[in-house]
Amino acid sequence: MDKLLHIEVKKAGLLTSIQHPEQVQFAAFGVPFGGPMDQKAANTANLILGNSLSTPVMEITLMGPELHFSQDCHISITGADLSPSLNGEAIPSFQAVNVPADSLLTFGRANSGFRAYMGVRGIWQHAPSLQTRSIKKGEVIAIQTLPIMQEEIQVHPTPHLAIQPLISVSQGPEFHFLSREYIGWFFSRLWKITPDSNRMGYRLQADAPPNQGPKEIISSGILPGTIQITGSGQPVILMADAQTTGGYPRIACVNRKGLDTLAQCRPGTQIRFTYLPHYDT
Amino acid sequence: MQAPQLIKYGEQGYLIQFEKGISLDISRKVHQLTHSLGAHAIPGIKSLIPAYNSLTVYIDPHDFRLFQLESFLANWQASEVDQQAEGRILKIPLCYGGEYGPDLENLAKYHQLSARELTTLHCNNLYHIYNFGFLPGFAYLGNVPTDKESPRLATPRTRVAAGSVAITGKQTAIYPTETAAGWQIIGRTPISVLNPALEVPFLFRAGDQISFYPIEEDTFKELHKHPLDWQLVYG
Repeated sequence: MDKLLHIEVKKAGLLTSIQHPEQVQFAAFGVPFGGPMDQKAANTANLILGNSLSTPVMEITLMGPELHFSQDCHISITGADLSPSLNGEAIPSFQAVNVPADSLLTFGRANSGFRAYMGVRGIWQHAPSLQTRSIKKGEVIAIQTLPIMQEEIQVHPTPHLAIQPLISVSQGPEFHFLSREYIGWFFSRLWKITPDSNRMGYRLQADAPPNQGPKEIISSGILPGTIQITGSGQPVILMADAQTTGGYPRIACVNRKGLDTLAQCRPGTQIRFTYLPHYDT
Repeated sequence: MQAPQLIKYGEQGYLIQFEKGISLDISRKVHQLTHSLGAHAIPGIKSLIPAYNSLTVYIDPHDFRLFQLESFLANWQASEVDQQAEGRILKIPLCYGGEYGPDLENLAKYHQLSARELTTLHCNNLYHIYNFGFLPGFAYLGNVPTDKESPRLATPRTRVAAGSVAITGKQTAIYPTETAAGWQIIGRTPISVLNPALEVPFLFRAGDQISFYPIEEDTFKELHKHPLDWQLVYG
């Protein structure tokens, strides 16, 4: 191997992007952390191939792209099951797959989950950008391919079977600012993810919320997983591409595992929150 | 001044909360703390997000030890020296009104000023950077010396050109990239505040002071040929 591979985008799919690991160095300049929504799936895609975890991956949302591979290489697909096929034949996920030169990778029915990740063994000639950009038809991604390691890496596919996943959260900085009625209501509800949810934030459908108490705070830092309560009482979970500061009370914060779970929840999915008190002093 | 409070922020963060309110004094302390905490390099701290009266600390819980942050904060004191006095002053050319600043006239009327008077007010002032947010490189600058606060637009624009300069409340800002936005647009600068080719791609840094000076449309067009000529604003 060790050849220069060109992956040409024949069709872009619903929302396909190249994700580098989250960028932490420019948050103070208003640059979102970004990075794969499901970090575990993205890391697994690279681990399977023996890539370093700083290697980019392709994030594929619900309806996958059509990609042409100029050279032979190894890929891995993790996360959602979006029925990947190579030259018309179904290929397995969660393992390294050899792609012959002049191959076409397509996706089909979305069986489970929402976001799939494609790793490619090698060195991607792709620079990170300040904000997520969807790939476009005709775009070409260049990768210096590398041989795959000999030993097989065993990974366990993450199933996305939960119908009403339970998302663990811990206390946000303004937890105690909000009214007790609101907090009780927030943790007892079955929430639905609305269709206008995206990589910036997941909005949760809220009918007739109780009085929440203070509606605004002085703008302050936002971390991935922060749940803000907007003025109308609607909660928004801030995701990878969220703005770095926000002005609504932060009731709670979803932990890393919960963020990976949410990344695989389609709009319309119902979720519950469970509160993890923290014991450190 | 009260010592800032350390508040747990989920599993991956801490919030360092300063006293309530928005003021130059608090903002400078936040910037000082950001600077000294950044230089101190405590293991497990991934990122810092300074804001008006708070500093958010993003941590990797596996490497982070709380006592290190606590002892740092216990020993930290805001310096009395105004570091800003030694900071840079950046001079931004700005073409006010007309097609570049469609809200200038209306906003001037709101403040019972002429467009010219509002322009003079806006540019005869040194602005402090309170905060970055909203978009990469978007700096919240203050304070605009109007008597009243400026309202937001009732209906946000779906498209505002990069370089547009806007006012809301007592804040002013330059939109780094084209975006949807609800602030009142008073003009446009030909200078780009972002240069993706640079290692640190932002024109503004915390601690800089910003001023604006009026230019005519033909100067705008001339300068707009070299939007990344930052030597011009370092002056």
